[in-house]
Amino acid sequence: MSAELLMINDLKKYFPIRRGVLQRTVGHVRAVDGVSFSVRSGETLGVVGESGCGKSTMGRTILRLMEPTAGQVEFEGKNVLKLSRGEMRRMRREMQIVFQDPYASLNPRYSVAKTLLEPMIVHNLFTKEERMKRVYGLLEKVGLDPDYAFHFPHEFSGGMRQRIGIARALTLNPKLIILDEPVAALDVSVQSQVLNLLGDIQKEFNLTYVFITHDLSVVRHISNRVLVMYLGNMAELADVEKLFARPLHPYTKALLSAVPIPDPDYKRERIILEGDMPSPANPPEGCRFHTRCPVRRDVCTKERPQWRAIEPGHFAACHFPG
Amino acid sequence: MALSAVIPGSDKPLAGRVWKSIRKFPMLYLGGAIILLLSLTAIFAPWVAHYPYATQFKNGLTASGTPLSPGGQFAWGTDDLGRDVFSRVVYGAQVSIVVGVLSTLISLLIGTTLGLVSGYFGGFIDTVIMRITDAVLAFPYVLFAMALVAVLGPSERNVLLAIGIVSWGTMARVVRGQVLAVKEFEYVQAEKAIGASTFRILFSVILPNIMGPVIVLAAIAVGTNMLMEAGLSFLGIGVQEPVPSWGNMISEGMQAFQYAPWLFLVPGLALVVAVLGFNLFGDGLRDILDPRNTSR
Repeated sequence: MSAELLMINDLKKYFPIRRGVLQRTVGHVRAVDGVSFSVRSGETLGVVGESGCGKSTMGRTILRLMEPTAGQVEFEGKNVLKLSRGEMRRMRREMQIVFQDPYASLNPRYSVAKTLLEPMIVHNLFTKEERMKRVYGLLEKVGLDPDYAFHFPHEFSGGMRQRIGIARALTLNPKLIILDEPVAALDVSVQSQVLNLLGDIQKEFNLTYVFITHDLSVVRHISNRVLVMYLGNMAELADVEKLFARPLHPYTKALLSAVPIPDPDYKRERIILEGDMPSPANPPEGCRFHTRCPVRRDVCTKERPQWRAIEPGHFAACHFPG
Repeated sequence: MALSAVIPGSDKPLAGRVWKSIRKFPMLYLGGAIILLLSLTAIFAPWVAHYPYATQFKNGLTASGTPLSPGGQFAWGTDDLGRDVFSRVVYGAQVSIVVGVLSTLISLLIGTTLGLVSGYFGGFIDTVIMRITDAVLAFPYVLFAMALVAVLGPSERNVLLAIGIVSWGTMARVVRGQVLAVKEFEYVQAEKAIGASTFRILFSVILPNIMGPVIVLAAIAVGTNMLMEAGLSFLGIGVQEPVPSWGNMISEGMQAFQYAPWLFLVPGLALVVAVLGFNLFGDGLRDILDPRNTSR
């Protein structure tokens, strides 16, 4: 049933740090430092991690909104990074993105209709009547009154703007949508509505999602598999229930122990990590997580752990998983 | 449903609302009024002026050959050649407006394009363009205008070009700053994700969203450019006789200041008022566009 839609191999994105009058490059911020995974058609891959772990950067790099420093990105077997300008433009119809900030992701000078028409105009699709029909159709699909088509973003609430953003992502009929913390800026009640909408749309249009978030309860609700990232590297990858039931990486365990459970009688061991996340410009030697790891041993400070399948379908990068 | 429910305050009388707006933005309206007056004068110069600007009247000079002071047949007096000062000032308005506005358009074109490219692409292109801008800003415009005039000859058109070519520096800088601010907004990234061309991103998405400060700068630039034209004409390398420009009128008036001070005072005053008008209007625009202004 599901073929591999997206394949990422050893993706890296470094940002140069420049100092001095002559702007010499003195180091690099290693935002994404060797990430490899694949996404099956129709599934939702949740990507979780702290702020600064590189998940958003990875999302944008996959779409070539930023050019990666190294690595491969394959979509339906095609090498995305080697495409010419024209080919890339056509490829963009297959992969879209929904952004986090509903207040910054819509052009304040464009009406909703113009925002939704824009992709169709850029790719020269459909006739004028067909385009408007499509606009109204999309608005209805995301739960907005089509009468609002000619209103402007500032006249809408955050949740409604996010729906417009989702409608925009759907305009070109993509196969893959990268959702970069799409509900993080919304009230909890609105979050659930938007998440349900995303789920409905995924079923209806047979979409594949890469869902980037820092909210673990959201991830559990919506993902098939989950990738945990830390400091630009992968920590753990597994089916969602396996990850929550039996986390192998100490970082995953710490994250899960921090998820709020709305039950005052529930007692549990809160794993509190020491220190702050190290700077991605100067990551620690050996295992990137060792500076904060509660089960750190000597080997962790020297050797980087290999990414391997601890159990079938359940991967982690740790010397002492489980 | 009453219109007033949709547009708040629209059921109040129009005159009251206009007055309220004027009280709130006095500079805008005062400047705007001056600009309007100036533009109308320039457009309808042949009808506003009493006489053609080059006509030398026999009765324009006293018996001893000195200019007539203001009053009587010649509203603002005459000059050394017996020409009507009022009419010459009116025709001078044409020159000032045309040169001021067109040179600003030229510098807008150059400055905005360079600012957009520089701000959006960054890196080496940005550095190169900004260093060129620094050079242009440091360059004394008089020297450049003199060089241009030496090659092409003095005329209104050449003055226009010279000023436009020399004054785009600030525009480029302001535009670049705005682009840097707007570039990281997700809606620009979204445009890229859709597959829009860079040209489209620059001119259809970024440019409309940075127009505010650019327009303010342009309004003030018209005033500055009018002053530059006056300066160049004063030096004799701008508009040539007998076509009146406020600048060359002031230049001639300087010779006669002891016995006919109105010869330089009147065009000088006209220049001051005109530049003031554009500056006030620009400041007023800036106030209106200030995001802190919540009642629009």
